[in-house]
Amino acid sequence: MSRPVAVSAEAGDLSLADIRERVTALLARDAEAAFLRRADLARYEAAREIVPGASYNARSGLVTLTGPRPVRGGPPVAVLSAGTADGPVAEEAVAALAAFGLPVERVADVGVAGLHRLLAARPVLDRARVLLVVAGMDGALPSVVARMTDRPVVAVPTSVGYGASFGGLAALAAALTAGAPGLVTTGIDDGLGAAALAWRMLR
Amino acid sequence: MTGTAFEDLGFARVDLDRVRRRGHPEAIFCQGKTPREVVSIAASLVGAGGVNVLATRASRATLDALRAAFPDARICERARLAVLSPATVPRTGRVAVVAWRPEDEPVAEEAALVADAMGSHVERRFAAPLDDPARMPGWTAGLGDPGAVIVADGTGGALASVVAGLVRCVVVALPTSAGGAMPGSAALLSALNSCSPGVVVVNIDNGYGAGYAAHLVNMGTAR
Repeated sequence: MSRPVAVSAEAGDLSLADIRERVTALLARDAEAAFLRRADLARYEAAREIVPGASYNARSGLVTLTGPRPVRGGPPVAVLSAGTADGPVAEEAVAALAAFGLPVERVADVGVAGLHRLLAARPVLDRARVLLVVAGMDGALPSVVARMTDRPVVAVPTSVGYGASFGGLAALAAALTAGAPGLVTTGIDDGLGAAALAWRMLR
Repeated sequence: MTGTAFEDLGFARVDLDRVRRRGHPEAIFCQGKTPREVVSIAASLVGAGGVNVLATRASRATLDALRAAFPDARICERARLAVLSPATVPRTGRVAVVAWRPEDEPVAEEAALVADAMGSHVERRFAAPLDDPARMPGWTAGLGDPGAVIVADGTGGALASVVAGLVRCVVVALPTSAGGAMPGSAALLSALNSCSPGVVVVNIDNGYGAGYAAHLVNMGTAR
C-alpha cells in the first residue's frame, strides 16, 4: 500500500504528555497529512512542542501536524454549511482541505429555511469541482444542493439539534434517504473525513 | 345523556358523544377489524345522526362491504378511505396538500379527503418541483395563502423544510413509508428536526391525522 492519505487522533481529554506521545506516533506513520482533532489551545501548544510548525484552527480545534501544501489551481472544493452552529464542522473541513493543498470556497449559513440564500450561491455551485455540505437538524441542505449540481456532493451531518435529532442521526438518516442520486454522506461531524474524500477524488 | 353516550356493540363501544365534544364523529380505524365489524360500527355512528363518518385504512373487502351497506358512501380505494353519510358542511379557509413523488400520493390523498370531509377547501398540489430547487419559491407562491399546508414525503429530501421556509402558515409534515430504506423513519426524523419553524409532524402514513390537524389549524385561522 502507498502512504496513508491521512491519519488523525482525537485530542479529547488526553493529558498533555499523551498528546506529545500521540503526535509522535502519528508522524511516524508517514501519512500525506496528519491531524489532531478537537484540541483546545493547551493541547495544541503541547503538539507544537513536537511539531513547531503545526497550525491550529481554533473554531474546530483541528491541529494540522504536516506542513501546509501550496494551494493548487483549478476549480475549488465548495464547503457549504446550513447554520452558523454547523460552523465548527465546516471549518474542520476547510482547514483539512488547506492541509491537502486543495482550493476552497466557503459558503456559510445557507440553510433551506431561507432558500434564496442558497439560490444566490449558484455561481459557487457551478464552479465547484466537489461540494461538501454540512448540516445538522433536518439535514435538508445536502439533498437540495445535490439537486442543483451535477458534481459530487458529500453530506456531512452534524450533531446540532434538539433531543430527537439523536446526536446527528436524524441528519444522517436524511442524507441516506434523500432521493437525490449521487449524494453520499460521511459520518456525523466528520468534516475531516469529507475533506479526505475530496482529496482522494482530486489528487 | 351527553358525556356518557355510547353504544355497546359487545366488540366495540362506539363513542356517540364525539360530535358534541370535538365537532366531528368518531372515525373508524379499519385495520384489524373485520368488514362486518366496520359496517356495524358505521351503522351505529350513522344511525346516531353522524355525517361524513370516516373509515380509514380500509381493505378492499371492507370498502366493498361499506359500499354495499351504504350506497351513498364516497369511497377512495387508493386512499383506502370511505366517507359515509356524506353531507355538505359549511366550508371555510383552504388546506393545500403537497407532494413531489407519485409514491406519496395515496397517503396525501387520504389527508386531502379527510380535510375536505371536515369542511376545509382542499387544493391538491402533487407535483412539487423539488428536483429543481430554483423553481420552488415560485411554485410555492402559487399555493396562495392557505390556512395550512400538508407536505407528504417519504424521503429525507427536505420537502417540508423547504416549503415551510416559503409560506406563512403551519406546515403539517406527513412522512410516508413509500420507498427506500428506513421506510418513513428518516422522513419523520427529518421533519421533526426541521430547521424551518412552524413545522409540526404526524406519524408515518397517518394521512387521517394530518388532514384532521390541518383542518383544525385552518379553522383556527378562519375563526
